[in-house]
Amino acid sequence: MSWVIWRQHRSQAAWVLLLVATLCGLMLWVRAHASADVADLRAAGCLLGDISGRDCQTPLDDFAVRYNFTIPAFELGVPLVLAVTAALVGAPLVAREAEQRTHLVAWTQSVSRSRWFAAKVLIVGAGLTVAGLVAGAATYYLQGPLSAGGVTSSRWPWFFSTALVPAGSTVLAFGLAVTAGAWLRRLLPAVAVALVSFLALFAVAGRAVQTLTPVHHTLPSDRGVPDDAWTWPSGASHAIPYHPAGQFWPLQLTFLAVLLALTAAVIALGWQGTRTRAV
Amino acid sequence: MTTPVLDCAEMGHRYGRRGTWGLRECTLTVPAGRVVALVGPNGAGKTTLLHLAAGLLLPTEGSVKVAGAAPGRRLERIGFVAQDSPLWPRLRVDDVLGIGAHLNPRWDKDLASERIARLGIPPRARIGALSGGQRAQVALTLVLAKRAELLLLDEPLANLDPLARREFLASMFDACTRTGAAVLFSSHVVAELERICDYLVVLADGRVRLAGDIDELRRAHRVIAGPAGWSTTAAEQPTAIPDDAAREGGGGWRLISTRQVAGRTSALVRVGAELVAGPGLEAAEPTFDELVLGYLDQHHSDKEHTQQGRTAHAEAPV
Repeated sequence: MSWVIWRQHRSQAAWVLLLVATLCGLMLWVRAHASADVADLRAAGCLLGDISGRDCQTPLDDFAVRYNFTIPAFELGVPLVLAVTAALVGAPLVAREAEQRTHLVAWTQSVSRSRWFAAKVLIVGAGLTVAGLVAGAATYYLQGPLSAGGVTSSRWPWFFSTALVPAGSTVLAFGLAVTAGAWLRRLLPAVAVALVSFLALFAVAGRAVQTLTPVHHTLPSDRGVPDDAWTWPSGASHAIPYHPAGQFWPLQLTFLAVLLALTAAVIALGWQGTRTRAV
Repeated sequence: MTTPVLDCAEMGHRYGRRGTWGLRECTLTVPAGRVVALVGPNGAGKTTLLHLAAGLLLPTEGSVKVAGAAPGRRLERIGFVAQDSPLWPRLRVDDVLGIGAHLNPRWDKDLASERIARLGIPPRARIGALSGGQRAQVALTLVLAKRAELLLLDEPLANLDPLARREFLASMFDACTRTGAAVLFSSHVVAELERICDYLVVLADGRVRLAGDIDELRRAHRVIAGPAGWSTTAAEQPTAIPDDAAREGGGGWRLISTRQVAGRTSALVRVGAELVAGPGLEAAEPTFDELVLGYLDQHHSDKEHTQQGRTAHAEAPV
């Protein structure tokens, strides 16, 4: 089965590899420049605690202006590009076979339909997971000097596009596309449905993980919210909820688990479609 | 008694929970080595039957067994070629054969490569670049090299020119005699079937109208020709031997269908045993075509009758 999957998906694999390599290459290149600039700022003493006495406003503003593009380009771009890629890989898995009627060939070899489906989903999904992990590592690596230079206050704004989360979001988009393809049996509608449902699910799940996990609270009269905390508009007037910096990795793991659980449920639905939809 | 290679009992399939029935109450047994022709008009249920036998669909009612088990558990014994023999258009011929080799434990590599070479199909050609006939041959090679015991072919002759049809049928025969495989294939090309098949199944409106060994079926039927309209006048009806008449539970013969040819009426009739034609009637064993077309006519005229009946019923209150 693995030879068959490799033979059928190797051009897709090459395209995904090229895309992720380009994306990571760009991020490494931007990071190299950003860390050089951060080194300059540090040499000028502009990254130390008290910068009010020095003439730091201009170089810090310059840094922010120069690297502002990374927010749309990578913070939003990386998860979106990965989701679109995963949808384009996942939707044809069943839908293209059905469109070409080659599912009639694939499912009448000596391999059962369940094994065919499981092998395809696991192997292709594993490939996309690796792509997501690599891209997540690259954004994490890039985000360091950007926060140091003050483009973002901390790594929290990047939470949904860095570290482990891109792997989970990529797999979820893939699962949704496989399932949409299995039920709709048409490629382009499946891609569209997968992307819309991905954005909705990702937003809802993200919001849930942000707000429903145990949070810290602070009163405005207290010391206030720490600089490196994760805050969100909550409507609460006296006790402001936030996640301290130390919660970053636990929340990453939690969100990854949530995304993987959602993916498993979605894939189960896709198997249902593959099994029962009239041939 | 050996297990039949295909055994359908009261099998039916409905598309969707409240959808239309593709096939109903299909009972059919195919022993090993048989070549079965599945004949019927479009929408008769031929493809549904083949998909059920291939494990692509599950029966909504009744059961289907291949070599004694559900088709899904016997995939290595089933060779299925879908209508228009679809294959992955962007793969090369030898990739498709590679897929066959990797997915089938009993794969015969030599047979596959030898057959492709003999047919002059370039192994490096992409499937999308082949003609319909060449693609059909690659698809057949895929199931022959799989060494299946039951070949299920949906309209295999549709895309082939006469020469390719002959080659295709010869390969099919060869496979059956060499491996003892049974073949079940659908076709509208009635004229070509007689030479190659020994078992006939006529389907219409999702039901089996006739099924049996062709020689036996021919012995059990007569085409009786006589003056126009003879079949509706009781006096001139053919007479059967009384014993058989009793066993048949009726007149000993059953009118299947009639057709008017050159001012005479010729009827296809099912008979219990030796039939003595009445005066002025000529009886003969039906040809294969007469048998098939007679049963398809029956279905056709049945439909007309029901339609007329419905019309009359609907108009009655007015």
